[in-house]
Amino acid sequence: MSDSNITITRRDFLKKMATTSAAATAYSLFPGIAFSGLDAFNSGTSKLAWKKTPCRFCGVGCGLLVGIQKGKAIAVKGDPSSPVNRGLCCVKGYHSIQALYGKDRLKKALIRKNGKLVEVPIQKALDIVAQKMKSTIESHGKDSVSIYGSGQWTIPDGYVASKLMKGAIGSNNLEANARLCMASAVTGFITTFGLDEPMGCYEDIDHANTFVLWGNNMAENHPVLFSRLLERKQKQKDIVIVDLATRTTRTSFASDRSILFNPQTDLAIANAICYELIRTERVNWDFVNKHCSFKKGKTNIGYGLEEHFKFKDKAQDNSLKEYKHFLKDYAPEKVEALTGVSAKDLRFLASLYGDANRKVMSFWCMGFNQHTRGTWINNLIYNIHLLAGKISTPGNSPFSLTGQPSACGTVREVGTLTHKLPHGVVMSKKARKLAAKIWNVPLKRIPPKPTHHTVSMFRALDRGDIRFMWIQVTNPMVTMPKLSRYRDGALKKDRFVVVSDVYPTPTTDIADVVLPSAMWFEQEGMFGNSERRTQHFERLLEPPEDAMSDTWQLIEVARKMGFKKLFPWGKETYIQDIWNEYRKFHDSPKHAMAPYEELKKKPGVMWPFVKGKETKWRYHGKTDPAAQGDTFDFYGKPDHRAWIWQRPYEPPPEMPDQKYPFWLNTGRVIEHWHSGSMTRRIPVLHKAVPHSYVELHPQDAKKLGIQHGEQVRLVSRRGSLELSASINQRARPAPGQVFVPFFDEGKLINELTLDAYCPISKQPDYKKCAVRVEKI
Amino acid sequence: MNSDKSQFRTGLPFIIICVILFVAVAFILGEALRYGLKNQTSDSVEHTFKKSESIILAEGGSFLSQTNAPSKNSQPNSRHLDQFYHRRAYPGAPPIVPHPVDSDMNPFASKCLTCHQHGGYVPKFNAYAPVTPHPQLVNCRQCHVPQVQDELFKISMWQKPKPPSIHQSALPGSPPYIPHSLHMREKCLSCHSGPSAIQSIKTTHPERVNCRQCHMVLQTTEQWERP
Repeated sequence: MSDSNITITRRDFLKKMATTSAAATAYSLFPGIAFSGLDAFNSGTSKLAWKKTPCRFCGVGCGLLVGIQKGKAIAVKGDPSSPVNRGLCCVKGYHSIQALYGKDRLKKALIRKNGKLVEVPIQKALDIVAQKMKSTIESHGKDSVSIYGSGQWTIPDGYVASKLMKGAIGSNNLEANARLCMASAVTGFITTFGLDEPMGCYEDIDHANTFVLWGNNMAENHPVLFSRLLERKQKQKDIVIVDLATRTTRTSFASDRSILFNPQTDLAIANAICYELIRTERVNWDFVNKHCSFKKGKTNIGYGLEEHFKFKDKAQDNSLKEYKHFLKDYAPEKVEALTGVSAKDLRFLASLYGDANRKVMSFWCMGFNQHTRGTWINNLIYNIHLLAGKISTPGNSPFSLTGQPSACGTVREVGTLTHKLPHGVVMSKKARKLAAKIWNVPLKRIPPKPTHHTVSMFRALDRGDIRFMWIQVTNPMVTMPKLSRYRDGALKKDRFVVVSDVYPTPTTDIADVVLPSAMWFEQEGMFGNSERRTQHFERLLEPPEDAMSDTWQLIEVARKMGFKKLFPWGKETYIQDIWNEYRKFHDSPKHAMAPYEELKKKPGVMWPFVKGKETKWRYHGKTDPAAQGDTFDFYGKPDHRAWIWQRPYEPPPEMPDQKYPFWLNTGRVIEHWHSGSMTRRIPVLHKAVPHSYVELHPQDAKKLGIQHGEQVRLVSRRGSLELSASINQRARPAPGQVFVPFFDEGKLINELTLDAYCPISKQPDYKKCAVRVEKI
Repeated sequence: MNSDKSQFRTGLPFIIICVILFVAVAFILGEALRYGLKNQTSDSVEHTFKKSESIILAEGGSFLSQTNAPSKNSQPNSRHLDQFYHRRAYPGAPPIVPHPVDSDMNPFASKCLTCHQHGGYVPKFNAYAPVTPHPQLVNCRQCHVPQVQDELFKISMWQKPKPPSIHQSALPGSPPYIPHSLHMREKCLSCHSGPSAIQSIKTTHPERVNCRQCHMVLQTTEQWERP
C-alpha cells in the first residue's frame, strides 16, 4: 500500500519551503519580533510562560504547568518534575483552566433586595457583612455567628478564618466541608496513632507489590495514582490489585480480583482478616509485642439522628486474650452470609496481608469515611496492617486518600474545625496558650469547648441558635445530606447567609450577600495534599473585576469589625506573612513546615520538614526525625505504641425493607468534581457527562420493566427525584442497590440521603440509605 | 542493445547504492531496537530524555508492516489538521474520543489499543485509526472522553489558542522545528507517519527514523551571547 500519490515529495517540499516560507524565515531571524516557532501557539510578540501550580481539583495534588499568555491561562501540561504525577494528569486537570472562563463568573458583589440579588460595590458588601456579624453578636452572642469553609480553602484562607473566629471573635463556630469527607480518616488516625495524616506517601506505590482497594473506585476518583498502580503492573509480574467494593466499576475491571461485599460489612471483613492472620499464625508478634497496645471503646454508639445528639468514646485497656475471643465471631465461615464474601475470598485477602513476601498498600477514601462507623473501619484497617507489621516502611502502607486539594493542608493541618486550633485542640490549655501567644490575644478569649460540627451547625441555623453563616468555597445546598431541611432552615426569617464563590450555585441562591472570589491562581496560596505535601502557587492572573481572594475578604471584614491589630498584613506580602506566622504553630520535628522560599522553589514539600529534609515515612527512627531509636516509634501516643482497637460490626441506621427495598449509594464520576460548579462549566467535561442518572443492576431493571435511558423515580423517606436509568454503562451496582452521582445541581440526590453520621467523627454517611425505585 | 546497455550502466550503481542503503538501514534499525529495549526499563524522571530518544529510534518503521487495508470500493476518511485541533481544547490537550465506544465500564487499553496501538484500517468507521504516542498508559479514559451532546451547561468565554504554524525552519529548506512539547509525544511517527497521519504534517521520509537528528524543539527565544 502506498500513499505516494497524496504526499508531496521532498523536492516539492523544498521548493515550497524556499518560496513560501522566506518571509517567515526572515522574521524568525529576529527574536522577539515574530519568532513564531519559539512559542507553542504562534501568537506573535507575547511570550508563553509555563508556571507551576497544584491542580485545583482532588486531593492527589498533581503538579501542573499552566501556560500563561497575554494575561490568560491557555494550556496545561503535567509537571514532569512533580513526584506526585510525574507529568501525567487526568481529563479534569488538563481542562481545569477552562473553569476560569465561564461567562457567568461572579465579578461583582451582590446583595439581596426585595428577594433579588443586585450588584453593589465590593467595599459596601464587605461593610454590610462586618456590620451584620457585629450586630448579630451584640444581640445573640458570639456563638450565633459562624463560618463554614472548605478543603478547597488555601492554607492562608483557613488560617485567617481560624484567627478571626477563635482568636478575634472568640467562638468555636468554625467548620469546613472536609467534615463531610475526611473527618473519619482524622479520628481513625488520632485514635490509633495519636496524630493525624498518613505515615507513608505515594512513593510506597513504587515499593509495594500488593494493592487492596477498599470501597474506592480509584480509576475514576484518583485516576493519576491508579495509573501509577497500572504502570507498576506492566513492569512487574507479581503485582496484585484487589478491588473490594459494593459496586462493579472501572477499577474492578482493571484489577486482578474484584470482590463484592454487602454495604456496611467492611467492618466484619476487616475483623475476619484479623481473625485469619491470628489463626494461621501470620501475625508479626515481635512487632505487635513491642509497638502495639490493645484497646476497646464503647459499643452500640448511635447514629446522630437525634436533634441534640452527644457522644464521647472512652478508651479502655484490652487484653490480647479478650481480643482473640472477640474475633471468634468473625471466623470467615461465620461472616460469609453477612458480608456476601465467601470464606475462601476472606482467607485469600488474609493471605495477601499475611504473606511475608508481600508489601501491601491499602487504599480507601469515601467508602470508609462516609460511614456511620467511619472511625471504626479506619481503626480496623490499621489493625490489619499492625498485626501483619506492615506499616511505616517503604511499600507497607495503609493509605487514606483525600478528595479535596487542601482537605489535609487547610482543614486538618490549620485545623478549621470546631474542636481544633492550628496546633492541637481547643480542649487543651497548652494548645490554647500557644495560640494566644502567637496571636497575641488574651488566653480567655479562646473558648475551651467545641460548639457545632457541620451537621449540628446547619441544624443550629435551622433552629435559630445560629443566625449568621459565612460560607466560602463550598456548595452545601448541593452537598448536605437530607438537604431540604437545611435549605429551609437557611431561608428562615432572621437568618443571614453570606456566600463567597466564583459562580452562581444553589448556595448563592439562598444567600443574602454574595462575594465574588478570586479562583485558584488568581491569588497566591498553598494547598496540602494527601501525602503531607504542601504546594505553593503564585498569583498568575488578575482576578476579574471586583473579585478578591477569600483570605483578603476575611481580612477586610475582620478589620472593619475592629480587629485591625490582629490582621496587619499588606496586600503585597500577606500570603508570605501569614505563612510565616502559621509556621510557628508547627515548630517541632513532628510537624515542621518548610520555609516560604523552599515552597516557592519546589513542586511541593512534605512535612515534617526538618534540617532541609522531607519526611517520607513517619514513626520509624530511620526515616522520621521525630522518632526515637532506630526502629518503630509511634510517638503520637503517650505509650509510644499504636493502638489495636476492638471494634465490632454494627448495622447502619436505615436498611432496605419492604417499602424501600434498595440501597442508595452516591458518589462521583471521573469527569466531574464534587458539586459540579466548576467542571460543568468546562465544555469537554459537560459534553461527556451532561446530567446525573441512576445506575441499576440489569436484573433489577428487568424485574421492574425498566430499559436503559427510561425515566424512573427514586423515593426515600426524605424526598424523591426523577432520573434516567443507566444500565451496564459506567458501572454496575450489585443487585438490590442503586447508585447516583451527586454533581448535578438540577438533580439533587441529597434530597433523599440521610443525615446520620459517625458518632465519633460526626461525618455523615452518603453511601447508605433506603429507597424505592418507581417506573414512570 | 545500446539502450539496454546504457540502462545497465546507470542501473547497476543504483542497485548497488540500494543494497548498501538497505543493509545500512537494517543495521541501524537493529541497533536502535536493541538500544531501545535495553533502555526501556529505566523509569526515573532524569532518564526521560534518554528514554524518549531510544523510543524514537525503536519505533522506526512501525508502519512499514501495515497490513490492514480498506476494500477497493471504500473511501477511507482522511484526517485534516483543522479537525485535529477541533478535537482539542488547546494545542497539546488530550483529544476527545470522536466515535462511539463499546464499553464505558471497561475502557482500558486492551480495547482501545486494538486499533490505536499500531493503527490500520478500521472497517467499522471506514477510517484509519490514529496511533497513540503513549501506548504504555492504559487507563485511556483518564484523559480521553467521548462527547454525548453539543450543548453547554453555561456559556464559556474560553478562547482556543491558535495552533502552531507548520514548516517553520531557520533557513529556507532546512529541517523544520518541532513546534510542540515532546512530553508524552515522544513517538514522532505515530502522528507524522502512516496512513492515518494528517497530510500536512506527514513526514516525507519515515524511513529516517532518528527524527531528532535534524528536528528539534526550541527552548528559548534568546540568542546566545558570550557570558
